[in-house]
Amino acid sequence: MKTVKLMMCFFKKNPVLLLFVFLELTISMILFSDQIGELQYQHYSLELYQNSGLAECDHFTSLTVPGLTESPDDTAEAVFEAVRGTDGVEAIGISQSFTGIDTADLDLERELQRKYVVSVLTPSVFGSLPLKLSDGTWQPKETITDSTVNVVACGELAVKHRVGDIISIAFNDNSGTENIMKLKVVGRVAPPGFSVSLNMSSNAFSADNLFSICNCFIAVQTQSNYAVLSMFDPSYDADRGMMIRYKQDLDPASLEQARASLRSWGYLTTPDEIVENTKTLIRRDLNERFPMLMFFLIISSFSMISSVIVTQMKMCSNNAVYYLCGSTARRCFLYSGIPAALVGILALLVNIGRIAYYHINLDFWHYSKPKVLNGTTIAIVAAYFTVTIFIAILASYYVFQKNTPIEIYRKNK
Amino acid sequence: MIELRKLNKYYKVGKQKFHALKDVDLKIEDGEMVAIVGKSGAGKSTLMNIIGLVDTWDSGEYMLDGVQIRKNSDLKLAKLRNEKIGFVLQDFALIEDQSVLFNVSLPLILGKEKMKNIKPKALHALEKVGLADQRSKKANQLSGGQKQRLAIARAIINEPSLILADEPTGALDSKTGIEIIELLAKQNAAGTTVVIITHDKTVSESCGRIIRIADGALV
Ligand SMILES: Nc1ncnc2c1ncn2[C@@H]1O[C@H](COP(=O)(O)OP(=O)(O)OP(=O)(O)O)[C@@H](O)[C@H]1O
Ligand SMILES: [Mg+2]
Repeated sequence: MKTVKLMMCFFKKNPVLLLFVFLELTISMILFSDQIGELQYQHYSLELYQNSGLAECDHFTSLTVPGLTESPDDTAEAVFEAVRGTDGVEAIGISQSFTGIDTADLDLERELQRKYVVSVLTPSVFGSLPLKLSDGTWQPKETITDSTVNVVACGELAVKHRVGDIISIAFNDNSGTENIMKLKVVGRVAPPGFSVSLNMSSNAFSADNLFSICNCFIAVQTQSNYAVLSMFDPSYDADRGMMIRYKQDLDPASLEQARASLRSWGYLTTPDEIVENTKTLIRRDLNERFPMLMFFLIISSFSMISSVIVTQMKMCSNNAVYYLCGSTARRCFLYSGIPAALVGILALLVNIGRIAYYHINLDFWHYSKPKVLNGTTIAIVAAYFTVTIFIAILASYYVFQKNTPIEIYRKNK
Repeated sequence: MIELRKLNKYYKVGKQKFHALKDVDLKIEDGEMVAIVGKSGAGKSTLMNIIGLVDTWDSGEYMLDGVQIRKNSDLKLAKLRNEKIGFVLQDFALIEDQSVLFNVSLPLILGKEKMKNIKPKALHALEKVGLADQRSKKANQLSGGQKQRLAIARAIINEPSLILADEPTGALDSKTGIEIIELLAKQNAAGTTVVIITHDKTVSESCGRIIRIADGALV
């Protein structure tokens, strides 16, 4: 209690300075954790890819368009058909999605309406996605007869919705008429909750391109879902890319032939290349980011050191008085060192809070690069913080313990 | 009782050493009221800082109340400062942006006193110096004389055996100065040893003994 009183003196004396220290630490930790989070995301997506059935599939995006037609939808369909028809190809995995508006919001202005993306993935290829569910199931046992689609919520939606929630959405079908469909949440993807996207086309396709969307409902194509979806026939947007699975018994020569024929009119990336591309990306990003991370560490250490020194200078008349009245030099230092560290801890807590609530759209840079923020990030940020504070305290302790508080006061008078 | 034997103090000035106290032998008995006088730069404050355990020395011995003071035991020295010594300085050494009550309580806050005893004791000390009615003001709202009385209240709150006053009247007009010296004398009458550094003849003459110092040596 008495110690608290003395520490309050410190807060009272340095409110603006402490506010800036707090902001500086908070922001540098946010930037730091984002850098870490992006690196973590790349590792996460590579692991996800390597542990899935997709690790045996090539990725393909067409460049040229067979049977050029007027409508883009038809074009996509023609491309898919052409790939399916290629010798040696057993199945292709595509991602189609449609967007619906929460029926409760239909009267609101457009920007205020809640929009939901329902992503329909080809079951034969994407059936083995190793996305973990935090609860619920991919395919519920009981079949629902009415016009309800069973969906698994991922990303932010997994935070906002519980298993059993029913959302009714309004969407347009192929003929342009508006329909109402019910979505029933049967499962939630565990964080970080990215799902498959095949929108990215690149000659250096990597695993992080593959798992880059979040905030959608995944509609697994069970029979009942298939029945409902075909009943409504929503107008789908198909991603341009696709995953290609070749026939099991294909000999190497025919496989090469199939690949060569696909390469002639598009970007084809084999699993080995996908892994290699991802690893290259991770290496390059690490090389690029490492100096940045060190930079953050050094900058924030320096600014912490200077803030601690400035606060100690501001406190030097207080410290001299404490010293006279019976405090040791070390105790004087701690009466401002501990509250300064508390400000740092507050900044750390803000960051932990941000990471914990990351999925609830608190992020300013929500549409920036995908990242994974989790317990590991917290541990790294906490370690970073500890090192920063430790350096700052040690350095300023070194500066201040050379003289008694009285001398410091006399010299700075 | 304060006893210094062949005490020497050097200050480092760049690469050179400055001999600030030269073989000082000094004895101050309990209950004395002593003035230390000397020209500016003679070493008065240096001597007082060593007596007050806020500064160290280079050779010689220092016994306080029969106990040999070791230079390198921070914790013990701090405890002694807290319990046995009260300081009154020319520039008051108050925490200006805090309340009178807080300032007077500081030795208790830093010491072992229980929280609930602090306020009554603080008020008692303020009454002794006639500042009880100013308790909720900030220290920087007081006049110079009031500030010095506050410093005295703080110096006596732990009932120390020794009060060290470094030019306590230096920043005050003569009438207020006299009041301050009277307060210190009253404290001395109650048994506390009082050591006052002063340039003021009337102050030094009101003390029982005058110690003169010149160029770091007692004369
Ligand atoms: N920290 C220091 N470093 C170097 N020299 C010092 C230091 N403190 C004091 N001195 C020197 O020691 C000598 C004695 O200083 P001190 O402060 O004790 O004088 P004083 O008698 O109190 O003078 P005044 O009446 O002006 O307060 C002076 O010559 C001063 O320059
Ligand atoms: Mg002096």
